[in-house]
Amino acid sequence: MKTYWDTSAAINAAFSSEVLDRLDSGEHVARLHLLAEFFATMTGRGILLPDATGNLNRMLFTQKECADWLRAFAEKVQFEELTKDEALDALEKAENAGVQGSRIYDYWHALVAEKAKADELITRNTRHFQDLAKNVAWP
Amino acid sequence: MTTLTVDDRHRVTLPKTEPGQVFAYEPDSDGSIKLVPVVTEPAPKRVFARLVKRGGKLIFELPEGYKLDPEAIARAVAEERESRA
Repeated sequence: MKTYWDTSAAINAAFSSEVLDRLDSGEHVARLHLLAEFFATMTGRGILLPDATGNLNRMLFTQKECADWLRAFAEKVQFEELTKDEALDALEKAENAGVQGSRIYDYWHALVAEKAKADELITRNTRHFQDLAKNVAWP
Repeated sequence: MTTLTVDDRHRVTLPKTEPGQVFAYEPDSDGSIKLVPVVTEPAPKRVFARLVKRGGKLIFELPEGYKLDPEAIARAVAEERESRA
């Protein structure tokens, strides 16, 4: 079983033993871009979560702890990427695929998952991958 | 009737207000002016999860009182991507 990880799935694994344990078996693949997007999200805006009184706060990681976690994650994951030609061909087909704006990031993940012959693409943004990948699953 | 006098710098002093308090200013055609206090929501606080080792694996623990919402993860990543679009 080969699993492709989207950034949201990796963030989920950073908080959840159940999701993290998925790395113990099978093959795992992601893009290097995941490392940057994970770091940008978790040391920048963070995740909006309510505290005990219902106030929304931004849950963040320190840069060092974020880097430490990503190092451990990366040890269990292979990294795959499109070639320059594959990327340019994909951009040429973007209009027909209904891809514009920030949807390019999901499109790119879907293409790399396909290239890696992943059995499933795990993400917390399943809706965003509609029409881009058929094997999308929750982490 | 309470009257308010505009000073030489076009300022009036509103009773029972706090410095920095914000009002919506709504002048009417009859010459009256309505001031409505604008209530602003407090900005979200920055809270840090803590990296711990559990069962030989690194994992982040949420501070007490917080519960993980998977939808919030999806929104955070989408927001990050939108910010780059």
